[in-house]
Amino acid sequence: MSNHDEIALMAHLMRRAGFGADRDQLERLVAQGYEETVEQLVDPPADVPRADIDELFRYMPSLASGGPDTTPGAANWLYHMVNTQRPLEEKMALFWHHVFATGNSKVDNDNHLIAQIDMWRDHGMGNYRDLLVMLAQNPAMIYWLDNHENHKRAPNENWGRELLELFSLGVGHYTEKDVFECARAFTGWTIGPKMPRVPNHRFFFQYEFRPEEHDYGQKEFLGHRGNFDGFDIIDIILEQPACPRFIVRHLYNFFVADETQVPAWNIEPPRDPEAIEELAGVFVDSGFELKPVLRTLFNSDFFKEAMFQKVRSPIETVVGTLRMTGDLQGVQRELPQVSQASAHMGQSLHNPPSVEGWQTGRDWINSGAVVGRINFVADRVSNTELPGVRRIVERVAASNGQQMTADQLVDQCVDLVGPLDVSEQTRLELISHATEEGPLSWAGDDNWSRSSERVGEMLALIAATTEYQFG
Amino acid sequence: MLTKSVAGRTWHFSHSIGHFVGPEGFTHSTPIASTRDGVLYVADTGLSEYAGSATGGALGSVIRRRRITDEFLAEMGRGEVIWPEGLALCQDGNVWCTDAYQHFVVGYDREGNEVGRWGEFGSGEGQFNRPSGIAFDADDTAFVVDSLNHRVQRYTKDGQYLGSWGSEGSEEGQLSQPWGMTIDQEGAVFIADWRNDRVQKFAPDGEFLVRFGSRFDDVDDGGALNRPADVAVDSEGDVYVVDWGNNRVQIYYPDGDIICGLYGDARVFSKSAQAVMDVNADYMRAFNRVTPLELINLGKFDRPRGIAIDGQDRIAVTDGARGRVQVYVKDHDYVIPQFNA
Repeated sequence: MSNHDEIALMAHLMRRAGFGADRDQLERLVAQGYEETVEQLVDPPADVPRADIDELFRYMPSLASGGPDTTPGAANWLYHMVNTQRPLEEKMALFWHHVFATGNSKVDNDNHLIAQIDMWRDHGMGNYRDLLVMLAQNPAMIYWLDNHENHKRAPNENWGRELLELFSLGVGHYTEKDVFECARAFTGWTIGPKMPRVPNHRFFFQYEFRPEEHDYGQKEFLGHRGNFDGFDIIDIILEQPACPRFIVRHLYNFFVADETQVPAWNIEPPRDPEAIEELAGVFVDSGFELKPVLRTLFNSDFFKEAMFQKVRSPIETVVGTLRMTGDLQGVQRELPQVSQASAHMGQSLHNPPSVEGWQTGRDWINSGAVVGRINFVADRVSNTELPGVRRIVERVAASNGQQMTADQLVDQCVDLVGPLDVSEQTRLELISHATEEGPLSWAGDDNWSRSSERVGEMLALIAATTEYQFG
Repeated sequence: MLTKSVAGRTWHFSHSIGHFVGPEGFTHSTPIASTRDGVLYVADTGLSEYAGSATGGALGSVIRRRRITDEFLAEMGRGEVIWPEGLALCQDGNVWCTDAYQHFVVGYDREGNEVGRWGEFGSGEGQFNRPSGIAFDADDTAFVVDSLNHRVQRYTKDGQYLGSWGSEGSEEGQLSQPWGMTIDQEGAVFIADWRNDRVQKFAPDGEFLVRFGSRFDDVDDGGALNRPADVAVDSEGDVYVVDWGNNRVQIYYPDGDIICGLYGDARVFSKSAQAVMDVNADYMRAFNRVTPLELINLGKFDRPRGIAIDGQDRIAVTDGARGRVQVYVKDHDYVIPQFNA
């Protein structure tokens, strides 16, 4: 494999398992080796730090909690994603936020969404059974799917239905009777009363099991009969062959290549059935541990061959751009404002549109969202004061002596923002623009200054190409 | 405990001030300073980081002056300070505030008129990188914690640079992103050494004297600190440290040994909070459903941030995330009641 191909593959890994990496980091990682890098992403050493949350709360205490407004929580999470050195933890938190979608539009107490995301950050690469138990006992989820109204004599089926349909098996692998029996098993899994928020700010809900509300009677669920409670239901779900296939298809859709939308999964076969079977086998053999599955996925040929087969989500676009350009590093006053950029592109953190999560893939792109997306990236990559852009400029300047043709400018920029795989037509259009002002010169301060600006302009143009929207 | 007697000393919880709502209430109360007769200056970061523009700045950072008995007097600095990190009073009664966002120190008189401003971003003499704690000695020399430069700078109150000491590290006498500070009656300087989870006491020239907090000890004697935010000293020399990460205030003997901790006891509403409850029956009904046991949670500190002690040893602690100030009193004449002996 050539060095260029190794860089391209490492860039692919870092875009998917993280939020991208600049060329200096890619070169270091290539020297370290692909499999070793996968290992560090999946199982980072204890001394590799997350973003420093104490530092955030020291200077911006209002971002520690939220009420009806999701801005503090979104800013809090953006800070984590931009500053962490454990990017796969944040990616897995995003993954579970999409699969176990919970929205503050109903919860109306964003403290609990912040706490839920913290939970995915801590445990998102752990054991799937543990995650289901945590989810079933999570106050935000209980309120979101009405399990606090799931009583012995009046079972509410919302949580039970979504547990089967969206969180574990998928449509077609259970009956209405199973939904009802599942709901009965989770009666009494509720939240206790909390201190009123006025006048001393918000207090937390706590999970509470109320025996008097729980239905201890016999249930029939997915062919089993017994006095099941929620734990038993989760164990029976894990015995179903559909369960591992459903979850690893989500992982494939999130990390490898865009699938059809989830509601169609019971009629549309997977894009790569062999990959799903391989991952599902690892998932079951490991006792539903996530790390072995992720390790297998990132080291697989089907992953390595899937470059640019996913449309970047809005938050991937935002965080990837901030990390590439070096913008918004550390605690910055602009965090809340910038945290809303992905919402303007169609992905409002802490507020998925429904319990189904977001429609992904090409559904991220529409006429409104694409303008916001291009403007956000272009504003930053054209700012040659930002440290990451400055490093790109320096690499471009050092690549070909003091003179540079339009072709060379385009090829260098396309390489350094990816390497990006652009069509010949796109390349010619970029060259056409670059040719208007003739060759570049890096000799002397004035020439350097103008050539730097032209690099920034070219990066902004690349951000507007179709190819750049894929990651 | 509403009354705590330890080692011949007694503290009573007195009352709380402020609440989360209303124009005179706090949202996120941060540093605090007190005159000897109990006039408090309390900074509040508000919600300006995300709600300021929507509210025309009404929820932005501000400094409020009020009596320790919960009487609002005035406000200052609205729209001028952004990240208030430290407050201190000098002899003429002016209050000085450090702004970690704008990297300067700004002073106001009692009416809120600006009386001076100094500092700029940098690491040279007279420059700051996120200035934090501030205190004046008996001669009105200002000591300013220069947090991300990991040092303490000295100035005249007019902003003339006098010198600095300190370096980054965890060795004795070194600092790591320090936060609050105070100066005792003897002129000793106490620094909340934030990232090192300790408080250090220095002579005015920077000579290390005593350490508070047990992170570097083999055995935890109960005096551990987790990201200490501020420090104060009472009239008898006992040292109070706001243990931000552990949601408590730790009290130490002057030599560094632990005495006890305060955890927050504001189970009764402040005057202003009660006024809100009195006119809103729904709020009151909601509280009537809370069990006495759960009410204990109402009183606990949640990210306590600053501390100030007046001439009568009334101890005011800003209870950051609860939007209030909790006031304790050290009782010098306490006798255990006979029936309780």
